[in-house]
Amino acid sequence: MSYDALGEFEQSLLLAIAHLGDGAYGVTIRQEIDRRTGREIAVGALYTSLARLERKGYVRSTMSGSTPQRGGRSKRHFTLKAAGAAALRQSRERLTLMWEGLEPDLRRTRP
Amino acid sequence: MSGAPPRLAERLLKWSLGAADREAVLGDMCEEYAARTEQNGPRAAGRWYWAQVRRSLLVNVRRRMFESEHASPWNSPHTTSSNGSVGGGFMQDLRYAMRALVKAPGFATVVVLTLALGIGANTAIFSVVDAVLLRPLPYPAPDRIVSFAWRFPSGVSPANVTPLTFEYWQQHAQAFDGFALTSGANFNMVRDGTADRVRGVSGTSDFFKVIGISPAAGRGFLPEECVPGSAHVAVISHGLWLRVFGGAADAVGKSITLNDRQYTVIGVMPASFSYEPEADLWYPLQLRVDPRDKGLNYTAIGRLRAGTTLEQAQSETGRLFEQFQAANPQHMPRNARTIDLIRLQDFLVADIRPLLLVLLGAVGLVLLIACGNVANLLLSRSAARARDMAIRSALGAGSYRLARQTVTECLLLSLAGGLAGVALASAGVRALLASIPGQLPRLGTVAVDDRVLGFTLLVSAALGIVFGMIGSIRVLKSDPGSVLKAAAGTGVDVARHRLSNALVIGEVALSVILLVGAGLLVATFVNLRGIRLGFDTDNILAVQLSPSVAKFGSAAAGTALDRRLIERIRAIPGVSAVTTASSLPLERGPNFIFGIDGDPPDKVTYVELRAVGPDYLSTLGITLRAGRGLGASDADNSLPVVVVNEALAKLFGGPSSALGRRVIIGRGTPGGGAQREIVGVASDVADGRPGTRVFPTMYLPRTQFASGASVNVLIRTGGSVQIAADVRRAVLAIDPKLPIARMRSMNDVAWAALAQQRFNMLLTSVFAATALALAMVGLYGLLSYQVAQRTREIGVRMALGARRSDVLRMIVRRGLILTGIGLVIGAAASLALARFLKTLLFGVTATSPWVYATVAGVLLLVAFLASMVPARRAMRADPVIALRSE
Repeated sequence: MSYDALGEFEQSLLLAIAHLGDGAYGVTIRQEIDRRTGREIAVGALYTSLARLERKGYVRSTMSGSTPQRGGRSKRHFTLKAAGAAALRQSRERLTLMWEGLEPDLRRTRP
Repeated sequence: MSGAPPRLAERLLKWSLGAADREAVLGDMCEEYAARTEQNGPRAAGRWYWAQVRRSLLVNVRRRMFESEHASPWNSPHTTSSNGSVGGGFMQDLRYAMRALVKAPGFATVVVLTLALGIGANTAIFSVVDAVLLRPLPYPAPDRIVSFAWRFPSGVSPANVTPLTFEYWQQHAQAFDGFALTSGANFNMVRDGTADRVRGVSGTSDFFKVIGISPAAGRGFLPEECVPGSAHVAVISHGLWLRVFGGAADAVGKSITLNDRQYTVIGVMPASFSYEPEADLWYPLQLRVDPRDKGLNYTAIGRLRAGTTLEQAQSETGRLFEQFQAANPQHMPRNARTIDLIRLQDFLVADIRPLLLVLLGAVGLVLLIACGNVANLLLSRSAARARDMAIRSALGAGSYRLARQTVTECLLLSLAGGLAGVALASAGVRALLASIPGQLPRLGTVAVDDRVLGFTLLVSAALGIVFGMIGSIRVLKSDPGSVLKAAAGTGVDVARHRLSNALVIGEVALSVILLVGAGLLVATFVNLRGIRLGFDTDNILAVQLSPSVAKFGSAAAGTALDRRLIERIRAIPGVSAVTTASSLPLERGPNFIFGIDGDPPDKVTYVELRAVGPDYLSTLGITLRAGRGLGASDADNSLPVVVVNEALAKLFGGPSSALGRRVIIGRGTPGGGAQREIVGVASDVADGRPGTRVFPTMYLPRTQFASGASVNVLIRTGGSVQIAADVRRAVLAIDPKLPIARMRSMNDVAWAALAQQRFNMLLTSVFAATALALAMVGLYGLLSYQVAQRTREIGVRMALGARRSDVLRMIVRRGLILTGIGLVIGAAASLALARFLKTLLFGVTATSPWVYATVAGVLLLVAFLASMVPARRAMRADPVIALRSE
């Protein structure tokens, strides 16, 4: 089954959620991406994309657990759904196929 | 709670988010902010927070604008906007309001235009009031610069003082850190063969210290330069510096020629400096303090010492006044109780303030009337949408939410009206400034600027909120159930009906106030125009020349110039009579004091002096009541003579009794004392103060009185003949460097003499007409609406046998009754407010029955017409259709 193509940003989000497992919510997702790639995401863009991903059925979100550090506000947790995992695998596969035959510096691989 | 994120940033972020996202996002931000504060400190954390808000704002807002497509999926469809403040937010209100207004373009247009008219007029007048009355003078600590004012039993008026008064205060007053005297004069500046008139302001050595601004280049006056007889120096304005020296850096030390004298430039004022709007230069006032000089000709200004309050300075001034007046009673006006210290700003605008305040009041009334119309329109609209609102309310929309939407709609309308009003005002201000007569102080600074725009924004926003609140109250109070149950067309809300009627009555009352005011000013103007001028203004050309003092200042040279001018100009074909004069009739001449020979030496009276050439009376057509006029035989070596006017002759008991008596001009002043004989009595001529009683006036031969540099030539032609070019040639033939300052017909001078009153009349008439138009539009609208609402009732009446004319009469009668009630209320209010107009009136009391009767008549007539249109429409309705309509 073919899934909608994922943008590069969306892939990062889904991968971050995969890494984090149960503890994936706004703050941790941003920190994970920042830690790994040094890229600082704006909170507006983050939630916009997460909403889109949920609409496509790739993630699921639930509200839970308020803490005083959050001014008494609860968190929205995200978990990867099967469709999301499948979409990720599809993206990776496609990318790998396209890279085949090229070095990381884009020179041709010696046969 | 220490470590809370920056409140404003958080609020902005919250505003931009949809309801569903707020909790999660704000929580995340809060948590991370706390973590960063621990790591890097609150400042860095705050910076991070703001950066996040900046980056996210647009994305969030855009997402919410296209909410339906990209709605957060966790926003379940069951969440309606009934969650009050949690649901939707301001952006949704805005979009909803815009959509609603776009669906009712007629309504929106009328409201915006009506508000534009009201707000625009207010903005225009406010910009003038702000620049002239409110904005402080452009000097450091301007409130600490004070001037004098006489306190009379009847009121306070700005004061000019004598040199001795100035010296006394300068010596004894402790309260000032700088005290100066100022005056002014016009000069001829000759440069490369061309002559320009420039205006100069004179000041004593403390002048620049009091003002608080020093020349940008060079320096101000030294005390030595203010001594009579010392060298002539001047500080020039930035504009003059550019004109004469082209902005050259070495202008200081060069000289300019003023009235044929060399003045060394000692300083140049900064570009931003303005004193009187047209002052080109400042020169030292070389004051000769003579106790005999009792002319109130100079303005005193002082800067309060640091640490001295106005009250302290005032009490010292009061004390000094008593001491000085006891010793020198004739240096003050007779019934002055004391001297008040007033801000220089108030001193400068004292004359124009009453008019500006009246205008501000008038334009405020116009705005109120406009608001009345808008309120009525909003009421009709809310009635029309009552069902719509009820349905939404029944479906769960909270009443708070509905109210907020109403307020948003009204705010949108009023801000749009304000915007359009600003556009109107910008155009209007230009027209207004072009038509204001005379010298409006600080005129050049009038502009629709930030302060004015801020005022407009405030007014618009306030109106929007008020309208919205009033509308919301109705929404909040209404019961959706009953609204939905009521059949359409019979849901006549009695309370709303009464409110609409009250609004129209109020509008009529307010417009009556304006109409009465305008009527009084029209009557004033007509009265002033009707004053017999005392001479024939037709076919007289007035030519104003400014010969230099050096060449023509002496009596002999002046006489010779007169003679040559008269000879040459009389020779021009079409000229029937020529004369000269130092000042024009209908304009103010110099004041002098004089005494009657035989009276005690200190008994003096003020008189207007007019130094005139031969045949003055006959050229102007002024009737002689007794004796003879002044002629060529009255020369500098013959008997000193004067001709007086009837007002002065009254002092002697009448024209015939005055002949042969002697007067002493300038009695008790330096340079005065010569006796002159009265040889003629002329009839009164209106002077430069229209509407006051004619001043005692004296005509003297120019040959017998040194009267200053300017000379006017008055030329009567046989019919309306164009002689301007010939006159110019004749003057140039006498002296190519003799500047002709102005050439006007006497009719133009007469026109200009009443310029201020004409302006008052025209402007208030415009406002009154606008007010009347708005009120009548409101009346028309109300009646039309009521006719439409009561279509069924009218149909029933007609079906039951009422004739069409009965229906017509019913509607017209309603219109007239509403107008009548408004008329009575407005008339009562006008009577109460009458005294604010008193200073501007002439020949008519503020309670004149004629004016009120005329206003009533005009109003009822217009109301009748305004009622006829909907009445005729109602009359023509087909009862069958009316009964069928739902």
